[in-house]
Amino acid sequence: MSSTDRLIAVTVFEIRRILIGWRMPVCLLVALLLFIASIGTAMSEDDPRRFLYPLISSVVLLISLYSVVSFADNVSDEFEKGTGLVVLTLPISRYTLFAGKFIAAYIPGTVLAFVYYMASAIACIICCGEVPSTIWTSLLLALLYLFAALGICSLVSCLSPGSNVSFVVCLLLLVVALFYFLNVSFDTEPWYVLGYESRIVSNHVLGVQTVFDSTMSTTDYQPLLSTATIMMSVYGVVTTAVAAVLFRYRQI
Amino acid sequence: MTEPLVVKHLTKVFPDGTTAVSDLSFSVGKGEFKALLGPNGSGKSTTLKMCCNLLDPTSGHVLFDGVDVSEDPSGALSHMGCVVETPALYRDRTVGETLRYICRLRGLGRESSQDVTIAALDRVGMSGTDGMRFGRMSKGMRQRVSLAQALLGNPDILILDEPTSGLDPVGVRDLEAIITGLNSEGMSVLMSSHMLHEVARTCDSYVFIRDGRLVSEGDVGSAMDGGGATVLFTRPLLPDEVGILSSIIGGDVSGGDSVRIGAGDRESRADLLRRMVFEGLPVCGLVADGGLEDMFTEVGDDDVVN
Repeated sequence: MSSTDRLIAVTVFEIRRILIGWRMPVCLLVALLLFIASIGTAMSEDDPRRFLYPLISSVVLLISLYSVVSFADNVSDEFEKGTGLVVLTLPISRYTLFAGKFIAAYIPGTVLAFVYYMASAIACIICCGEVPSTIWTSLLLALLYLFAALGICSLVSCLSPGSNVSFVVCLLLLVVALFYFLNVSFDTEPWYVLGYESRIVSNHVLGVQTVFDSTMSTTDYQPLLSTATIMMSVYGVVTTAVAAVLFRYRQI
Repeated sequence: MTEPLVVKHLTKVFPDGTTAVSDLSFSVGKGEFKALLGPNGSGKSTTLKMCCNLLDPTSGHVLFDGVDVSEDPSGALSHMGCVVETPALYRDRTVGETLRYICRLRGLGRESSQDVTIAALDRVGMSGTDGMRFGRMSKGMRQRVSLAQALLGNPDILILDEPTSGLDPVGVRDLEAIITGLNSEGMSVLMSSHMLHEVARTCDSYVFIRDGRLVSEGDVGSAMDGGGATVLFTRPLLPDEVGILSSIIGGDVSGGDSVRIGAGDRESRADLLRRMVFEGLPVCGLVADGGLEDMFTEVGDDDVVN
């Protein structure tokens, strides 16, 4: 049996754990509540872009919650609850095991985001008669944010002594920080902060940009598409790679 | 023929400077049932974890069928199954689902995984439990299921870390019967324990470690008999009786009301006693030395074999 077959076996098993357990139903419920809460605001808009903005604004929160729920305790559980004493003694590379777990968390997250975008697009067609094409670019940005968020969760999970600690830290880093960066204004652009860059997901639909005053200064920075894309990619790649190495060398 | 497990100069120094295992070497032969003995904190679990790739050794090698764990973990680990410390299966999946998953990671096909899982559960007396959740099982059931997962893929060697720990006497007896049954079918076993009566019942040979270093190794039967015993007489022996005794045990005897005899199995000791009684010596009893039991309390650093 090749490494690819083992990777597929891990991915399929972990996807089943996410889908059949409590994790996915919780995320679906949150998605439904966010959609209902946002559609009320959206209904007052005639412009398709303005209609979509409140709906898509909720996606980042949904993805953050999904990442925490699906992956924050995934790795730390193996070390804390004794399952690692079985799985890590099997003839499979730890990198393959980690990759399988990561892909398994990414696939349902992608489906969840896609379903939410489709529901938003259908609502937009019903109410406004058309859907701006930027929604699909926004979906790609949302999937990039999912990659970064899962990377952070995997890193925290690999570093944490237990699943509760991992869960709380991920919640603070991704969800609480998101609310903080939602409304705060900055003296200088915090281009290095994921929570700030994630605004591009909804801003891209509306076309919001940083507006400078006559002295070329502003307190209302908005992320650039290029910077946000690069930063989310960097967060995803670096955190995932470091987490994979930590998982390989973590001892029980 | 390559031995199922060879441990060569294994050393583990933790980041805080603690040396848990130091230059430990031993091997487990084909079909051998070896006990890894030592008091609490002697490095048994650390040794087994290094064997199972859960801990990286600071130096030294662990080879399964000649394949080095640190060089080819996947290749080496495919030869062994293990139950180390308190392993668990995923609580949100059924036992059957998890065991089939383990089969897949052990390289078995999707179709054969089902049959292998059922056979493994049957082998440990847990037929019909593949639909149960691990979290709802008793400790005894969990131990058996943990053993079942170690048997998936029919490994050459089983590594068990105090497998009967925490079980009631019936559970201990049943699990021992399963393990000795597997060994009698030709599977090699390395089992850590500090319960000597269990070791005496099940194991062929032993490795005794203390402070992570090899103290002694050999045959369990001889070691349990202590390598020696003292024959007691009802009175001091007469000069002609001393001569008879000398001829029986084959050496000089100083007389007195007792004599120490050397190492030997129980049958050879019984033979010596029969001959003493037959020759009319006033034998009234035999006291065996403590053997392995003494090692747990008496062996000091000076006795360490390097």
